[in-house]
Amino acid sequence: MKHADFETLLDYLDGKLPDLAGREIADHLRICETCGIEAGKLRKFMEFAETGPLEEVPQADTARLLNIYRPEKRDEKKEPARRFLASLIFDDWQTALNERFLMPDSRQMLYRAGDFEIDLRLNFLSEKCRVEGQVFPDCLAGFAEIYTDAVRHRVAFGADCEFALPPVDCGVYGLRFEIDGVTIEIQSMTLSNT
Amino acid sequence: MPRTDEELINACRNGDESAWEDIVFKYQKLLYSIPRRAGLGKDLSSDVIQEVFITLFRKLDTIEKPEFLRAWLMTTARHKTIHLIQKETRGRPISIDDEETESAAFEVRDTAPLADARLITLETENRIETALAGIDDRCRRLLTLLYLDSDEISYAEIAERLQIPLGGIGPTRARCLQKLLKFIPE
Repeated sequence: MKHADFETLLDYLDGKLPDLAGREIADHLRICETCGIEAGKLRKFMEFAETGPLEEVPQADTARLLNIYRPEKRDEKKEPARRFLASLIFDDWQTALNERFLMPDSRQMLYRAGDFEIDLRLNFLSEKCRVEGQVFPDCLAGFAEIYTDAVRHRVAFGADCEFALPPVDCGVYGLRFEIDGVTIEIQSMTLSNT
Repeated sequence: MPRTDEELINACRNGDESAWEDIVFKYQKLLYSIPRRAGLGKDLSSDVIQEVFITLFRKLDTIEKPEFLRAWLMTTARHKTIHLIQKETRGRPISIDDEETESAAFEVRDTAPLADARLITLETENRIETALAGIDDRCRRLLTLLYLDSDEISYAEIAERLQIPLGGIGPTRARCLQKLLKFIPE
């Protein structure tokens, strides 16, 4: 059988073909890849017609989206990279130390540097420590790095600017974060729960 | 001839504001639909697309494969939507004594619409819309009246509105659909 006539295909999908003709087309679509693809596309269009067009974006939102792009903002971005030393603004061990005799096996710390806050979670397991965390506010591409003179591990941020560094032996480390041209450093952090 | 995503990104990198406009108009509806279909309200959905485009702007210089812009935008919108849903859900107070509050708290925005298959459907719908916008005016009007208009309009009325002979609607519809199908992915 040659390819199905387009109008016949349309009538078939509209359920307007008599039974016998409908069965013939159905059989043909099973063996003819070209017509099968054509029918598949038509079905997609008909499904689209049933669900209706995608919702319109409010005009005010469109205006805001257009305003995001400013060539001068891009020039600002090309300024030399900035570097900050992060300062500790919260440490849940400060409370835990007063309340408990045993050290907990995790620790949460919050650092601030420039416009960024870095939420760090230290998880201890025997002699190892795993540093995880997230950068706020909405962060861009970047990475977190933990290092000593002998060891260096680097991981890229995830979609929500979260990161999980590989476990390291307990000890003293430096931490470095690169966030959209900004370098943030925690020069010395003791990873130990004993 | 519309510019490709790669060309648009490169133009944005070179300070071409019109390229940014093209990207916004090309993708805003698609991206807005992702949080909306997941059940987020208009305000939160606006936040999602705003964040997506802010992230795009900031990452313009670091996007490694601009040809995959569509996929990148959709993935980013999906992540941000899920993030917002989780944040919203965590933030709601739950009282175990109050069944209504509890059920409301678990009336989580459905993340199923964010599954890959559903996003592909959304993407197809977006391509069909774009294709509809790209075909000639007469075809677009005919297909809109036949398939997309919420009012049931008779063939006679369509023939009168579009100045097409009544008997010509069927063949014209077929020709217009054939034009459209060229732009619809398999």
